[in-house]
Amino acid sequence: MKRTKLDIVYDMLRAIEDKGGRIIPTHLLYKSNLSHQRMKLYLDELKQKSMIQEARENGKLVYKLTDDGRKFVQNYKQMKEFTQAFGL
Amino acid sequence: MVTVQLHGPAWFFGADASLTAFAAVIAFCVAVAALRVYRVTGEKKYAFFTGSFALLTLSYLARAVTDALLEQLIITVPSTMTGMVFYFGYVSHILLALAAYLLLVIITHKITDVRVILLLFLTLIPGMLLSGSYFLSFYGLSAIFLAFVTFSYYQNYRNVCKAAACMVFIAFLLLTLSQVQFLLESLHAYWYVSAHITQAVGYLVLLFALLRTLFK
Repeated sequence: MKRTKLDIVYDMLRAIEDKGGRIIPTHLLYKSNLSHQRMKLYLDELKQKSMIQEARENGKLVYKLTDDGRKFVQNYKQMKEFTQAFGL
Repeated sequence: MVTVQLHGPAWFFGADASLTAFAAVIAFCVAVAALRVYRVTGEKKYAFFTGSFALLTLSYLARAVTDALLEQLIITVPSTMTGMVFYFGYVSHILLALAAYLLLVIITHKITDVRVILLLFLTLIPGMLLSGSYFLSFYGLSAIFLAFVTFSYYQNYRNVCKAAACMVFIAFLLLTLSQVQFLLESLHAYWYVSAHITQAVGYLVLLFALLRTLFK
């Protein structure tokens, strides 16, 4: 079944959460099952919506889950139920 | 000169405005829930869905306030102004509701061709303007649009097999039925009462569906 945008965002944020709230781009790419180009688009959007933060730790690029991102992961089930119930 | 036409039996005055206001509150709740999803995804379909229920909210509010004013429930409107209140209140209600239903048809049937969308909107114009009775045209068009939305929600329920999807389907089935009952209003005033009750039950079921998704 084709993943919706809501599912993809959830998979990405859940992958970060599962890794203790921070993840390196390679792991995120692998976990979110997206092409590099599409993942970059999603990352830009998530950064813009303050769901993740970009940081450098020991010279390595990492993506950190923000409070808004955590809130989304918690509310995902509700939103998914809503979109399914209303056929969206 | 606009002829003010009050609907239903006198003992039902006030109850109709309250039931319409109740529908407005539930439509608003659905719009807020859809807006939450839109803010996360930024997808157009959620924006249209939010817009559709926001238009429905405004439409029901316009109707509730107009009914309450014409039935002298809130304040006594001067007789010289009742025509204007009736005209603007009901015209707003009709136009907003039709736009909302049409948006729902477009979203639920995933119509993306702009020409088809434009065609649907344009067919509303003769449907409303060339009609001998605005109310009959409005309820007739609403019944058709809602029947299409209901069919789409039936298919959605068959696909996802979830209780909330079933509730949404039943809610829209009741809303379609209520429009048919409104159509029969000219035969007997009690059809107006039963239409309002069916519509309110439909929105109540929609509220239960919404609550079920929120407390999952």
